[in-house]
Amino acid sequence: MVFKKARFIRFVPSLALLLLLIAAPSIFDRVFISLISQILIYGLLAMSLDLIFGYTGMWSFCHAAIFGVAGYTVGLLFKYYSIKSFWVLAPAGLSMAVLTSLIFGFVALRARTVYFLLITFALGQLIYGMTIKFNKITGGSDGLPDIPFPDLGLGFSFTPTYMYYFILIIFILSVFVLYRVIHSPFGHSLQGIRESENRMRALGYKVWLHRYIAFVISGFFAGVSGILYAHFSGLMTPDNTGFTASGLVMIMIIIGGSGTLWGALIGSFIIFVLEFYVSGISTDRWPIVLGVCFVVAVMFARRGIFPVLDRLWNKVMAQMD
Amino acid sequence: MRPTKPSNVPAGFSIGVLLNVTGDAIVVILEVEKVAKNYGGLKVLMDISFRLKSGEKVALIGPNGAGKTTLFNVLSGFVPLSSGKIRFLGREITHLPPETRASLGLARSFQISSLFPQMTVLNNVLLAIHGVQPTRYHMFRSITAYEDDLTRARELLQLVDLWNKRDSLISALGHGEQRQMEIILSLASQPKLLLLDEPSAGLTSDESDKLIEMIHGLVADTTVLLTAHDTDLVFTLAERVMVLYYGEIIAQGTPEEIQNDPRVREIYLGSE
Repeated sequence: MVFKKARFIRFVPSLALLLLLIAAPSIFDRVFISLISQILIYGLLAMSLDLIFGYTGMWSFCHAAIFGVAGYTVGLLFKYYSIKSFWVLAPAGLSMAVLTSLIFGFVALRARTVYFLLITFALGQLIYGMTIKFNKITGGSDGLPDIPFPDLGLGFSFTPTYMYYFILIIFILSVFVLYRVIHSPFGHSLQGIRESENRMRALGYKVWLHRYIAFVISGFFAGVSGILYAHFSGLMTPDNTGFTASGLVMIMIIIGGSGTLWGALIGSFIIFVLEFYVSGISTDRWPIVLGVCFVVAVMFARRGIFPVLDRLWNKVMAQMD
Repeated sequence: MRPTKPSNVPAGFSIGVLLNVTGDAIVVILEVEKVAKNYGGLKVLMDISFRLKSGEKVALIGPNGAGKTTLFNVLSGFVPLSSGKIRFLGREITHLPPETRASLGLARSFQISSLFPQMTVLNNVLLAIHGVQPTRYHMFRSITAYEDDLTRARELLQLVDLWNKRDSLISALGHGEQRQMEIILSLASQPKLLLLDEPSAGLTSDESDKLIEMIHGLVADTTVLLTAHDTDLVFTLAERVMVLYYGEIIAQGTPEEIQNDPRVREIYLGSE
């Protein structure tokens, strides 16, 4: 019984967060709900990157590009083929994201560490370049506007509140899957690869294949968040796919705590909330604030904010016993 | 397999079975044939040939730089060899990668502990157990939810008194405990051949004695090839000793024979 109680207490923060997210539309105003939606979408993107960045130790710099491929697929299919059904758009977007990951992963996994980062950077910029150069199709740097809210074919149309719940449900499902993957034998094999690749090979693991599978799973969830983003914001621009976006997602993970899953969500929260308030004061100063924020986080919470919070919570639990 | 007379056995022993004097079948687990390794002009291993029989405990000794670790890396597949052949359980493995050799039943430990420092003791062992099973690709069940594997992990950890520390991170263990874990991880897959590279590296003589005792108990049925500086380890565990000196095996025999071999005394044990 004691054991079960301890386990239950461990989940109190996640449960509280979940209740808060469910109740949010009746507590906060529309602007703030839109902010939370963005936090969840980018939080999911950052969490999916964390699977390969934090857990496996693959510094992928093309994550926003895969996100963008899914988003643009949805936007383009809507614009040129007038496909509205979510049940067509989402599988199409996901397939493209997975296909891109399969190709990018195959090319980039020949390299390790910094070289992996450079190759994924180049591949990501390839997508960015395509979104700008094929401006007749993609709308160039103006982006691809007017993507509607998803049409589920259930006879009701989406309001911003519905959209928020839709994002929340998909977010929860995705995080649940990511969480299970991370705690599975496969997930542990990824951490093992990060910590001692040679030992993993000596134990019988086909390291390359594990990395490749992880890269594709990560790309799949980047696709999920890309599709959500396209529907939510209604606009895909090249900036969503470039290296600045990939870098921002990486910063979210580093600030929040890499290899912790929840850290990525915290990072997303901090960056969007700060951006929201700082941009209200002065748009130009935002990059400076972001820089300072990054430096402070790295100086005072070297492993990120989540491990600090986790330790605090463990202390609280210890006090309660 | 139909018993074969010794005289019929071809020179290459490719069938993997020999008969000893009394006519019992002896399985040759590992057969190393003229293995050489050069780094450019530097000849680290020169035409090394030996066989390991099932259940045998063999020690490989030699001064620093003799090529012991290189030989281990060649046998486990981490370093490609320059020429020669390696057969494991009758199957040629000369060019197979380490992970394939591992799934065939060839395990190794590392001279410098190569564990997963940010993972718990239990998860380290579980990861090692899953390594040669299809479950290594399972993605939806928790790693601790596999009952059989958990039981095996528990047995292994109880052998070295680390079950109570199963939730500690490896990085929190002492050096001696990490050396024990190093061996536990290599044993977890129930290998047919175990290569132990300096299992007692960096241990005090007390810790080393404990480790020897532990290895003794653990590997009764396993074929073991080990390298060591520690003469205690060699002479308690090994039934046969091979002396590697500048890339060549210059002597082999029982521990007593090796101790009394004048060449070995001169170059390895030193002429005190």
